[in-house]
Amino acid sequence: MKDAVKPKFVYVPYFKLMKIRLFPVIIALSLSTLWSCNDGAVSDESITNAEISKEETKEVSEETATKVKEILHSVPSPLDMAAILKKSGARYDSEFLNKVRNVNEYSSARQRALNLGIYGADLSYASVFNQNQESILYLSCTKKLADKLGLSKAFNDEVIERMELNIDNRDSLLTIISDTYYNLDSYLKENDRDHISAMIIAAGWIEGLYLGTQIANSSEVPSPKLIERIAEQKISLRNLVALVMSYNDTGNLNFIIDDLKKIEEAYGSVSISESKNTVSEGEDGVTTIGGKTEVIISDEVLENLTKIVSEIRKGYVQV
Amino acid sequence: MKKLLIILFAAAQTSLVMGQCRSFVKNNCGDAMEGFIPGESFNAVKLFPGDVAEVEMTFYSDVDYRLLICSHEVLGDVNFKIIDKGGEVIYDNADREFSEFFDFRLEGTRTFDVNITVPEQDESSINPQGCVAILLGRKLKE
Repeated sequence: MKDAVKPKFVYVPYFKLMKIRLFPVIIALSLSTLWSCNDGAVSDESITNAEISKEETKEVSEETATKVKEILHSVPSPLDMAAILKKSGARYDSEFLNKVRNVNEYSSARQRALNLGIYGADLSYASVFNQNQESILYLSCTKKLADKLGLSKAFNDEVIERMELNIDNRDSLLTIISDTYYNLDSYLKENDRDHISAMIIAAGWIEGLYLGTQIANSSEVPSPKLIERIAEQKISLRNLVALVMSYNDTGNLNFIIDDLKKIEEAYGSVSISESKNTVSEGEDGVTTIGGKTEVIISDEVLENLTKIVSEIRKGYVQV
Repeated sequence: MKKLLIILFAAAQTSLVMGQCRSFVKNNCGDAMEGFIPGESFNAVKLFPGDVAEVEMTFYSDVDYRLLICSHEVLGDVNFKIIDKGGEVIYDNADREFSEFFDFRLEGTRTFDVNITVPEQDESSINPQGCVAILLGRKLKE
């Protein structure tokens, strides 16, 4: 097998081609434009086409390149963070969540996208803690914002009905929430609105960290497991920064990158050490990847992190 | 002229395969996630034979994960490897008859690279393009 062509010093978004077989691709695009059946959604081809236009000039000299290497980033979702909060013994407190009444006050696309991420994290938090009525309320908030962002196609009324039908089944609720956010994400990416997707992901991650730090801060004796989890977010933060940067062609996401850098700074002295990975297969067919991750975070760092995250989040939710 | 026709035919084939990745995932990948709560991020790319995709993913400890690499059948046996930051291969689906999924859990939170390679095809054949989707499901334990 031939070696893949390596990218040069850039983070690239999901569909951005580093090397393109220009001629056949252009022909294919022309034909697919002629032959495609429009089902109402914007197709992958249009995205790829737009990206080829952007890349064409600088990539012509590499026309003969035969391989593509794509780099993607994936960070844990707010649902994972909510599950961690519950598992670490945190209590549910609705006071920490963004107010439902704020939803009608967000008027710019940026505010709507950020708060779609924030309400989504709150929705996950409420659902993981079996707060079913609040879950429906927060789902309605996310639906309103999705509609205002022109995402009704990816988030229809059926979702609310499915939630109501499965109100007593937590795993079903979580699956519906995940499916909904997956649909939104895929719709945004297919319609060349990946910077909106990045805002939702980043704001959701920040809200998860906000909830974690607020819960830790409000506990007389915070659970060591919770503190450990908060510290571990330093690992996914690096990946999140890379993800956001990969969508920042136009500079629309500079403010989020700046905010994430502030959080990175606050995490500065958190030490993370990983022991060597081991691999063993259990009787249940599930492989266990062994190797501990040890994190050390001081009270001062946690306090400062709590403050920084709270300030950033305040800027996002304010009306 | 013959060459042009071959290219046009190849392009036509390609365009047929270039259906929406979103629809592909919806119609072909969901069943393999039965029993897992699916992830919220859409990660899918269209690749040709010989192409490589790499995903940097963070996994938490104490969560049961299913990593599914769902690819269009025209691409053949797609290889995926999980590689740690030291470059050590943690998992290679070539050792498991190119299984599309990998079930695992971790003792410590980690970031790994998931390296996906579409196999080369005979140069004389028409190189098809197809969707490759990376899906992560998890079971949330109380």
